[in-house]
Amino acid sequence: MTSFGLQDEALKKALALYCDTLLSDLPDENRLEERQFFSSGFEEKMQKLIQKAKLTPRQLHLQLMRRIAMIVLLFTLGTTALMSVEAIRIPILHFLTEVHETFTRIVFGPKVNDDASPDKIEVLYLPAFIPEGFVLDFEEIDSNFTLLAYSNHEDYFEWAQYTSDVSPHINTEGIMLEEFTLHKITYLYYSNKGMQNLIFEYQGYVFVCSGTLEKDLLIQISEGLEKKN
Amino acid sequence: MDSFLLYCLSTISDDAEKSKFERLYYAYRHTMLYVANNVLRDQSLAEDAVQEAFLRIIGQLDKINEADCHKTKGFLVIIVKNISINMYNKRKKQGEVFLFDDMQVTTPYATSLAEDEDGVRRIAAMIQTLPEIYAHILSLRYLYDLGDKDCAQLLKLSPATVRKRLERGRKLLKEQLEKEGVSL
Repeated sequence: MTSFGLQDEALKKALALYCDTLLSDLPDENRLEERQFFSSGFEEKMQKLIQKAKLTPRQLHLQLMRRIAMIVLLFTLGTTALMSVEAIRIPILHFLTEVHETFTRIVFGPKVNDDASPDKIEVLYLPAFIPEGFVLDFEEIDSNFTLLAYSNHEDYFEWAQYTSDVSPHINTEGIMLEEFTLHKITYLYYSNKGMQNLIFEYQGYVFVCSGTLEKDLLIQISEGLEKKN
Repeated sequence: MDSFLLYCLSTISDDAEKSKFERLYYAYRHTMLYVANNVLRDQSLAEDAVQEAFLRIIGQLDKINEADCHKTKGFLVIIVKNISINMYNKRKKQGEVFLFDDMQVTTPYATSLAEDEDGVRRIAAMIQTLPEIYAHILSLRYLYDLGDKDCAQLLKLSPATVRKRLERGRKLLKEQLEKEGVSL
């Protein structure tokens, strides 16, 4: 971009002068502050933006991933709801699955025992076994949601703990939802588009372990839980 | 929108950049609202323009050396004004009145500058007579040293459109200056 040749410097100076003129017409910021106001909705949005700007890139990345997952989930629901057939309720241990034609809604509850289903995550359960070579990539610990993401050079898996008031919807179009019990815990398992997913309830919390790993390995990860202080 | 915002924010990796963002917001939000309101004449739309401007600026924080300086203020004013003009044009395209795109901005200040003997001042005066979309793109490119890609991101244009606008802006400026006997 040098068609101004040797006069680039003159143009730059002229543009600086142009900008000065642009600004010279504007009232002082402090004076404007006294006489113009932002709506509460705007202030709220900008405060959120500023707060989010203070989060670490990891936290932001996780939030983004969660948001994308939710959008995919909602999109799946939106596009399949019209085609859905009457739900069949299959009661299992502590949760119900509403099986529709192309998606399944998993409802954790109604709560059998309120004491056993905390509203907030009071005890954090982490897998006691992490496959060799996997390192923790991301970690987000919230009052009713915890997500840990591990990866090695080839694979990754996520470990999520929720309070039981969540009702995940999963796209079951063309896939088999498998239910099995191990050590008195009922698991739901399905594989979709290269991702294996294991869902279960333990101590009033909902756990989802999903990733590119084989089913057996996900089960191994999910079998032994240890409390984190 | 919110996911886009998170994506933008996730690209800010440095703590200093984050506090710079906050400083920019508190230092210039009223000026930006004033500029947007002057174009849009609607408080709610003007707020949208300011918010949009901050969202776009997030991706360019590394280009801003100091939050509290004249040049930075000019940068923010150009961005928010450009967004406001686009919003205004979108609303008016189906109807009446002029579009800002076609509007020639001639101010008394420009005339006084044009009468000045100093070459730089005369060029500045000519820039003021250009449609603002060209004056803005020339400023971003030559004053703020932004590349085509950065300009495209800030103005929500394709890099090809940025290049075309630059070309047209330069041509217009050159023609105007030649008429005045100033050669670039």
